[in-house]
Amino acid sequence: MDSEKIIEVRSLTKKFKSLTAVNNLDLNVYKGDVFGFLGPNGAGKSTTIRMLLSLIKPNYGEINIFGKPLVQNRKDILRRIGAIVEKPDFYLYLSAYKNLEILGRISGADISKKKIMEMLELVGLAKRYNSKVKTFSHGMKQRLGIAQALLHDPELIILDEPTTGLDPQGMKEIRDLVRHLSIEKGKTVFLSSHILREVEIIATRMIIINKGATLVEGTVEELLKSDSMQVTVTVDNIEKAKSIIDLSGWQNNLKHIEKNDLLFELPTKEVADLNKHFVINEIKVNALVPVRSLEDYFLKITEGVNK
Amino acid sequence: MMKKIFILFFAVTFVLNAQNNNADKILSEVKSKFEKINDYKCDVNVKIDFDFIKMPDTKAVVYFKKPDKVKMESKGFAMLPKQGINFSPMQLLEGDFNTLYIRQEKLGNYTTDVIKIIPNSDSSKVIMTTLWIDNGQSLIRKIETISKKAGTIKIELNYPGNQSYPLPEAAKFYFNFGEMSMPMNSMQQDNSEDKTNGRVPQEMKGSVTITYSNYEINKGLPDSLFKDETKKEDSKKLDKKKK
Amino acid sequence: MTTIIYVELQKIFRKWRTYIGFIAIGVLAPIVQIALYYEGSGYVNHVTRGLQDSFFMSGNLFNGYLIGYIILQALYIHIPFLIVLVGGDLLAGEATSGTYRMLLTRPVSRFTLVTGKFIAGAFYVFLLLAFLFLVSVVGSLLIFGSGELITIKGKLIIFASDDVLWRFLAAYSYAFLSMTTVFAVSFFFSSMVENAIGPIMGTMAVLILLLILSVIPIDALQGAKKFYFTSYMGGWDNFFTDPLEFWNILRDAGVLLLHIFGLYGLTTYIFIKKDILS
Repeated sequence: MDSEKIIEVRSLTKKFKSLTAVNNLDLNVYKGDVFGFLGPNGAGKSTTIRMLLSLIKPNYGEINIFGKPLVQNRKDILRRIGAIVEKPDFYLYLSAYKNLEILGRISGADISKKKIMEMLELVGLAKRYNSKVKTFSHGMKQRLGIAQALLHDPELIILDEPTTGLDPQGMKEIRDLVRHLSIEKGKTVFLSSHILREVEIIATRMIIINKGATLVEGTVEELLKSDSMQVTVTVDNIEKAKSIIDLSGWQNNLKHIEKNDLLFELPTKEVADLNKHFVINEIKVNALVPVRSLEDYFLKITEGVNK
Repeated sequence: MMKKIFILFFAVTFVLNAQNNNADKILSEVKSKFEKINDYKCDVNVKIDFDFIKMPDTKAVVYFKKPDKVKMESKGFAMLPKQGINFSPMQLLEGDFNTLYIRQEKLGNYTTDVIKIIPNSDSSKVIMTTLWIDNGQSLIRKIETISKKAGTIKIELNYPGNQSYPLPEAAKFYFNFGEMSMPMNSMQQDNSEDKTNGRVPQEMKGSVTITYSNYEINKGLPDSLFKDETKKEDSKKLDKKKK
Repeated sequence: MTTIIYVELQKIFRKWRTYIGFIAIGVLAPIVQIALYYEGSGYVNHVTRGLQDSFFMSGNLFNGYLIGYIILQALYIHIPFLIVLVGGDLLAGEATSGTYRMLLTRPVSRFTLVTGKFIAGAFYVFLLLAFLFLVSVVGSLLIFGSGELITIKGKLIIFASDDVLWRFLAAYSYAFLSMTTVFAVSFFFSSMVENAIGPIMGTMAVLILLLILSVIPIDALQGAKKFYFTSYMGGWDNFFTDPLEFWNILRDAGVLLLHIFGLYGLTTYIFIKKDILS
């Protein structure tokens, strides 16, 4: 992994009256990362993205992008960023081409007609270049949003829910595009999405936040480590099982109890021993299900915090 | 005693009569001078000096044809007192009137006879006219007219030396219309419900100075030249009748 | 900055509401011209009635300049509404349509953006007034010809025909200041909300309120009149007085300029500090 930091956030805090939307957040994004930015609704993701793009001013903390403080180098930094923030909105009374032309002009880049048409071709809107955006479906606007984010060939691409409103084919195309941009073009992608499966497939690193603060940060592999895992053990006698675990060395590995299910996080090699321990103590194990997906991990970790 | 009264009465009457005869004679000499003018054309320069009007000096060409045809032409807008074209005393001596010799009076370098003309008819527009007539040259040097509509108008006339026609080179008009209603601003509309009708009374006095030049006298101006003016006057009379 | 101004002008002139002002003027002015074509001589007679008994009058007071003056007087009170239709939408419209996010993530400073929008909006004001001048003065001159201009300000004032055009140009220049002040008010309100209706109605409400307050015959309100910017908006008419009160005109123009720059400054401050949540 290239160690050059593209985004560095320290102690970022934003309050809206009595609500703390982002609370002392730290994160690092490295060059070439496809960085997954995850969190439940109201976690502070959009607020954080808006602060990265200087749409909102933080109350406290610092943001450095491309090694430079954002506040003092806003224009230079934004010149190298392409972004979609929530749903992309355009000038409905202008055509797709005209919207891109205007946004390209404002970016100060020398965007030729050819380049605009290339972008429209890339997102599958070349045939509708002259249609007014008000005639576009949500999915078409989403794709046009991606086109405007890539128009000036940015180094860092910030995508907030880029696949919203797209059909499975469209989602795959975005996924492939992000991979292409990251691997073949060397772009850094900061990706926020609710579709965790998508993030799991393409992200190289990620952060999960909740209530404005970091829960976990690391690579997908680190978070879904193969040398430790989560298992859900379904038993017939939950009370007896709890009392046995309390007396055992696994009480710290017990993360969550729900009905007859016990969620353990423990080294993979100890899973068989845990099963054996239940059996020896005459507790029937009806099921032993490993938790490996990001979605499960996400739900567990955020629910754990919410409890 | 009675005899003395009668002698005094006849003496006064004789003197008065003599004076009136004098006034008539003087006016007759003035008239005969004007009768030499059949028509004329000249250039005028008009300078208006009223409290209630501000306008630049204007140039115009005026035409006159006996007995009372007048016309004014100008490139731009021009305004000229009606008495500023027809100087003939004939208009003052129309109808039934009395003349009264008042006195001799020095007017600048000129000795003038002061004569009053009083129309007898109640329907006359003019209440009284006073003329200061240069008794050496039979020229009207000054006129003061009191009329029902136009208030008091004084006119001072200057003539060039050595001319055979009684046409001035300059005239200064002093007007005092009394209070006249003027619209308050350009956008004021006539509104029958508004008693002021959007107009305010203004004290209307001031002067107009006219210089005359390039006279062309008795060149035979055609009647057709004055046709438009005649139509305008007729139309105005018609509008007044309608009202 | 020129790029931003160009882009903003493109956006302004691609919206249908921009053309309401031009259409309104394009329809109203000819209606007034047609009406005056048939009834205009009566207007001149009304003005000069008191003098007609004693004076001959020649020349054409009923000409293109008079028509242009009448149209300006008649339409002037309505132009502000046409201005705020565009001014109120310049910033609030971006919030409504959600395009702030797209716009403000471009490498352009907020100062440049708000200034570019302000200049573009002021240019729209200029174009609208230029169109009014074209239709009402130039159009009237072509139809009715040229001549002296007669106005009434307590007394009759007649301007020589070669003394009128510069007065119109100066009056329209002053009118540009007045209307840019109205625009600045709507632009200011537009920076504070996310829907254009608010700034449009708000600006009209402010104008109407100040105009009403300035005519109520209460000493305190009359004394406060000098603080209402609406008291200075009609100063264009001072170019049609004789003698010209140059220092008064300059003072009044200065007050309007103060308002323009003050409102622009406030708007810029608000816009730069604002969190974009839409």
